[in-house]
This record gives sequence, structure tokens and C-alpha cells, in this order.
Amino acid sequence: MSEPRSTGLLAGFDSPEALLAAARKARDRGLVSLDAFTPFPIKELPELIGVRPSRIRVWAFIGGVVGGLGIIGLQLYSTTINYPIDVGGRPLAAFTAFLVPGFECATLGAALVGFFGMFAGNGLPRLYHPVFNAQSFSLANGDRFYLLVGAEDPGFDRGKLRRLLRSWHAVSIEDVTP
Amino acid sequence: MSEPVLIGRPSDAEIAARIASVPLRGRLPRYFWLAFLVLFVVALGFLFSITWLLVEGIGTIGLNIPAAWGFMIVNTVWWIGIGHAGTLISAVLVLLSQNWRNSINRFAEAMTLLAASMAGLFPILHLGRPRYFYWLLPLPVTHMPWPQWRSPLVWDFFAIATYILVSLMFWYMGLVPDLAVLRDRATTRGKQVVYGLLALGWRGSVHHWSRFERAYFLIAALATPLVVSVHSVVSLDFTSAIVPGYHSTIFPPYFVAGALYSGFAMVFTIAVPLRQFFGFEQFITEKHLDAGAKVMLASGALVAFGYISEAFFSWYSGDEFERFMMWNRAFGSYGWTFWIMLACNVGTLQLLWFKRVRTNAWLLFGLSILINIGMWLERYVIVVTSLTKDFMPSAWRDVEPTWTDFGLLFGSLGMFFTLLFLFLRVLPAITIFEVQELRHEVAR
Repeated sequence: MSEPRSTGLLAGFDSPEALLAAARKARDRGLVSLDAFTPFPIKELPELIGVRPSRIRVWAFIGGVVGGLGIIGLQLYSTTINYPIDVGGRPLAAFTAFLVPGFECATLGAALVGFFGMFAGNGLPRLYHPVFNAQSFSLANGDRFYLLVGAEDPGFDRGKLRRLLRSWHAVSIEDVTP
Repeated sequence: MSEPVLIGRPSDAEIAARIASVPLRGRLPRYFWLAFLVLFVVALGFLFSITWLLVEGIGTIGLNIPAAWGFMIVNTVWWIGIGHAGTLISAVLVLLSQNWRNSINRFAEAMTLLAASMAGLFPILHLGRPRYFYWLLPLPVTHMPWPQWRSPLVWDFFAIATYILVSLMFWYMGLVPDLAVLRDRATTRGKQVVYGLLALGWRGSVHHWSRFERAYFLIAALATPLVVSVHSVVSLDFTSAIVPGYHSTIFPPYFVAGALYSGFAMVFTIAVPLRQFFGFEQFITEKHLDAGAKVMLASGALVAFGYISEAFFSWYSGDEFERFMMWNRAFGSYGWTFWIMLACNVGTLQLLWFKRVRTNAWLLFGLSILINIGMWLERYVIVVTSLTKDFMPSAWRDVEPTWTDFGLLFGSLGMFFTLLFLFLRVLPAITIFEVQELRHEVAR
């Protein structure tokens, strides 16, 4: 190909409202390969861009169950099978006592899955991304809100899209190259 | 919400510039380093005391039988209590959508982490053979015994370790978007690389934010029961013994209230100088001081209720030993600690009923220090007066703290503040993205 490979067009807006309006219009135009980059979360945006709700809570729940049952199982195994010690006839399986580590490990298991799941699900750490190549891209000031239209979008037409983004009050428009 | 949570109308860029200027500034004013130097010397004293303790053995601290617990356990309980406010602010208040938490949660979480780490050190140092502390873990090693699962010490270990790990994850997760801001703002290569690596390539994609928010709220929801559970478990160290003075069911809730009380006091001890010296008055406003002081007032009132309940039930029980314990607490050889504790924790608390006091930063700072002294003494009163005079007069023996005890107590304060200063130097003390988000909410 003679034309440089392009990831898409990155348009910067100077307010969350402008970005939301542009995202809405882009969606109404039938553009599907959209992404947005913002310095802080914006409530209505995920729905407009078509973000699928993450299932991280389900996974964290599983992590919690595994953590909690795991440690309770370990306590039961150690006190009744592996190394039973009879102290004055006290019950070997002391569930009330076992609940404390059980609770702690359930919480820890769920939190570990939540933490690492967030990064894994987001594909982080990933120090390189094409969007970092854009001169106009920066999270430094927190006053730029970006919309990325992917080149793989069936409706991607560079010239037309540039004009459109301009008319949607983009303050910067830039080709993103990998 | 009468007072604003954000003063003026700073732009997003101004917010980022103001907060990020502290870690990115080339040079901090001389008084910062002067204060740091003093704290660092104290922190070295901590290391020296620890070394002395490890080399010479446990006899160097003021312990004996019957008073097998002294300063060390007092310090643990005090530090873990201080560590509670951070999680309360960051987790409970995020779930309750209290927007006044946004500018104080970051350093409160850092405070929690450091305080919980200090708390975790003391039980290990207090062991006769600290080198075997990892026996508390159920490690798959055949020559080692299993932990004693019925022991509160093991529960304690699980509770504190979980608390530290969950706080660390919660703190780091909230830090990642701000590290990306620092990465993009940094002007020197070194800072760009370091912050860039720490930011893990965060680019603020809407897909990422969506998952981030879910996970963040999830961990907040998980941390909330931890706020209640950690100090409850710590209090079980006491209540599961039969020593008069702490064989009581009031302890878990009473300890949790005390933890929040001392934790918020420490938040003020840090927040007041922080806003003054780094010019954060815009972000940490009178609204924050007022709201935090109200939490202190409520939790302090619960602590006072705990004192009354303890005294009442030791009388009402009709138990000779319990009654003597209470009398001894107030009028025995350590009576003076009891009265100072009451003056600090219940006396100064009454000033917080007045709004003028609640919104006066430096007055709150002073009160917070008194309250933290009082809360330390509370644990001292509980531990020492109960142990030194238990059932058998022939076993009674008073205890005197040694210089190692004081070295460890003040040294841990020095270490805590040294690390806190380093945190302030290299990381944003206030959450940039949340304040920006807050600005847009307020503007709307």
C-alpha cells in the first residue's frame, strides 16, 4: 500500500458536552468503530460508544467464594485430617473460629480478582498504543476529550469524516498511525 | 451542603497543574526538607530501637509477667485504629456518594497504608522469636506446624494482612489515572519513564473507564466490611481472654468507633498542614473540615458511651474482680493515664459541637493531636491496668516502660511521617481526576 497505514482519526473536543454531542452524532451516522479518551469518567459516554458492561463482578464473586471456601477447607483439613489435636475434648472442626480467616480470605479473593481483573480486562499494562503517537493526545491538563473513529469502520471516509468532525466543533483532528 | 466542596471555579487544567505541581516541581521549599530531616532522624531512631530489640531480645522493652503486653500491643492497636479513616473515607463515602471525600481520599488512603504497615510491625517485633513470624501462614512445608486457627493472633494476622493488601490495591487503582496525568505532564526523561511505567499505559479509554469504575466500586464495597471487621478482630485479641478489664462483648463496636475517631484525628493532623503549605485550600475546604469533624464527634460520642458502658457493667456484674479493675483503673497506680485519657477523648470532644471550632483548621489540628494522645492512652489503660492487677494479688506487678519502648513509639511516628512526606513528594496528594469530575458535577 502506498498510503500510510492508519488506525483512525482522532478528534479532540474541549468539553465533555461537546464530546457527548459528537459521539451521539457519530453513532447516528452509523459509525460503529468508536473509542473515546477522557481524563475522567463521563456518565453517559459508555452507552453512546457501545461499551459492553464488564462482568468483573461475577468473576470477583467467584474469586471470593474460592478464597473463602479454600481457607475454610484448609482449616478443616489441617485440624481434622492432617494434624488433629484433641485439647480437652474440644471440637476439632471449630467453625466459629474458622469463620474469621474465612471472611478475610473471601474478601481478599474477591478484591484480588477485582484488581487484577480490571487491568487484565483492559489489556493493561500496555505501554504502547497508537493513540500515544498523536501529537494532540495528552491527558496532562484534563481539558481535552477525544473521539477516535477507527479506520476499520465500514463508514470510514477520511475526507468526509474530517469535515464532519470539524462541523461537530472538534478543536483538533489528527490521523493516528500505528 | 452549605459550604462549597470546591472554592472558586478552577479550570480542569488549573486543577491538574496545581495538584501535580507538588510531585513534579524541581525543588520544594526548604522548610519541607527541614521538617523531613527531623522526621528522618526520628525514623532512624526507630530502626535503631528495632535493631536493639532484635539483638538484645524482648527483655529490653518494659514487659514482665503478668504484664506480657505493653507498649507494643498498645502501638499496634493505636496504629491500626488510625488506619481506619482512610478506608472509611475512600470506600464507605464513595458508596454513599459523599462528594466531599474526593479531595481527601488519596492522602487518607496513603495514611491508612502506612499506619496499617506500622501496626503490622509491632506484633512481629513483640514475638519472642520474630524470625518465625511466618509460621502464622499456612505454608505447605512438612516440617512446620499448622497455625493455631483458634488463636486470635492468627485471626489478627489474616485481618491485618487482608486489610493492607486490599487498601494497597484500592489505592494503586485510584492512582493509575493520575499517574498518567503525571506522565503526560512530566518534563524530564526520568520522570516520564518512571511515571509512564507506573501508569501502566493508561490512556483513559471509555472502555477502560467503564471497567475501572465497576472494579473500583466493587473494591470499595469489599473494603467497607473490612473497616468494621479489622478492628473487631483486633479487639478479639482482648475479649477472648478472661482478664478482667477486657473480657467484654462491648469491645468490637467500641474499638471500631475508637478507630474512626483516632483515624479522623490523624486525617486532620495531616490535612491541615497540607492545605496550608501546599496551597490546597481550594480543594480541602471548610466543608471537608466540618464534615470530618462531625464524623469525629459521632464516633467520639460512641467511644464515650463505651467508657460509660464499661464502668457500668463492671459495677452491675457484681463481680469482685471487675469492680476492683474499674476502681484500680481510675484510682490505682496508673490512674493518671485514665484521667488524661478522659480529658482528651471526652473533654476536648465537646468543643466539636460548635461549628466555629469545626471550621477552624488550626484549632482542629490541635484537638486532633490531643485526641490521638487520648486514644493512645485509652489502649494503654486497657492493656496495662488490666494486666498488672488481675486476679491474684501475689501475681501483681507494675510495669515501667524503657527507652526502647519510647524509641519504638516515637520512632514509628517518625517513620510514618517520613514515608508520608516521601509520598507527598512523589505522588499527587489529591486525586486529580476525581476533583476534575467533581468540578463538572458542581458546574452542572
